[in-house]
Amino acid sequence: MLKIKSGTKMVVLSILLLGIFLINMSSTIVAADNNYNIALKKGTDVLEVTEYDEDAWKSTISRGFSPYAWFGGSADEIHSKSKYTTLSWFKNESSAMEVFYWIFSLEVALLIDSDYEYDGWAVYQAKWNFTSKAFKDDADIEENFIPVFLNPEDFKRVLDDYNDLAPLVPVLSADDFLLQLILKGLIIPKPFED
Amino acid sequence: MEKLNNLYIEIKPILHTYVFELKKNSKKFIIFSIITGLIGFLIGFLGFALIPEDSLSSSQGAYFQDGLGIMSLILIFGVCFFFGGIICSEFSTKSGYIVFPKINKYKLIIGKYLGNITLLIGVIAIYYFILVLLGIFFYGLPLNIRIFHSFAITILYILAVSSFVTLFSSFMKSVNMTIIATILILLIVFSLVDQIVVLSNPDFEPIYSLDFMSRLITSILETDFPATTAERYIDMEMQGFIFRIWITPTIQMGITVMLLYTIICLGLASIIFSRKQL
Repeated sequence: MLKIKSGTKMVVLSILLLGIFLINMSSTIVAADNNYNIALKKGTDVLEVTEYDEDAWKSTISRGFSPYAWFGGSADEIHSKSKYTTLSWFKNESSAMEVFYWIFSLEVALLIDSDYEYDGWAVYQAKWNFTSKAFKDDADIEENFIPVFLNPEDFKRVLDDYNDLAPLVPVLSADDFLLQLILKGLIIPKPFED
Repeated sequence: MEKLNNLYIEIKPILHTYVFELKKNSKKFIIFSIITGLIGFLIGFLGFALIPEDSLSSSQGAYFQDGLGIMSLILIFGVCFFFGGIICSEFSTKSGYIVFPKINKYKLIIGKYLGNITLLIGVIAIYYFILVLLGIFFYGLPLNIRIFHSFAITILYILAVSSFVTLFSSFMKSVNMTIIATILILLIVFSLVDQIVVLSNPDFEPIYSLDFMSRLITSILETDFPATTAERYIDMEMQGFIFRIWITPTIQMGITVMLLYTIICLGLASIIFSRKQL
């Protein structure tokens, strides 16, 4: 008959309980009720400008729209770096007004007349603008909010809402609208098999 | 050369006691290190890794501040357990009868003090090391250099609190009573007295308080350390009363007060110890 000391039993039981606890905690995070899930990890990513062709930029993007306007900081300098730290994310329902406030401004958002709720996540990041010097201790934007749509079809919904809005806001062109979407930082959820 | 030889002979009992103390308390050191390491891992990693909604701090400095929030609590318990019996154990267990004839009692206490300080700094260094590793893991390099300033302040705080506990150990009769009394005073009495003093006179900064000094451990990590007195407190008005919360002492004041605590408490402890009879 195998005799196990009571101290060893306690250790095994503690490890077992800890394991059950951790598995339960992690299983609630990855469970999803749809075909897309957000694939983020907390931490910092550093971006570096390795190449900048000014002529190609002006001819492709725009003469009046510099890398600074798109990426912020000194994004037109080779070897300048930017970093962002993903702080947190959580499931979120955003109204059409909130989505248009994020993309444009409060004035534009107030013109929206839609009850649609965009399911998805709210992602928070700290962002350091491009710089050729050492990064400051504190971020340039301490809490950059980015909504992520659960269903990629919601991008079409945003465009439909924009089409309804366009007659009321004639200064917005379709190009402006798409550019704003890109500038704010599109994050697409990752599809996975059921 | 002869002077050096004489110096070595004088220091030798301290060295022997120091090494003996390191070996004697090695189990305590291992247990505290494991507990401190686990706390560091839980606070600094587990929550963030498992819970997406648990937000990381916006910068490495802020992350270190959050991770070190529990430092003063860990230190109080650590100091009380390591230093609670530094003097009174020789009297309560009557081991002084054997030891004191063979070794100068001041050298014995110095050796014990230095041994325990080394072990406690080692425990805290492990906590800081884990926090630094996790800070680099989440935020990348370069490392915020202010973490080293915080570590230096923590060492000063250990010196001040350990001297305080040593003082109590010099006149109390039992190790357990010393530990309980000092934990109660450091955890509860200081903060109660602070609140009473500040309530009755909000302009009075509680620079006498070790609890207030401990805030320098985290506040030194601020990018913009409060430059003026007005920036070092927050006023809340409630029903006609002004509740002033002092956030941090100045760096110079904090260092001065902690050094004063060390000198005064150790001085008093040595006086009491010299008059104590077995």
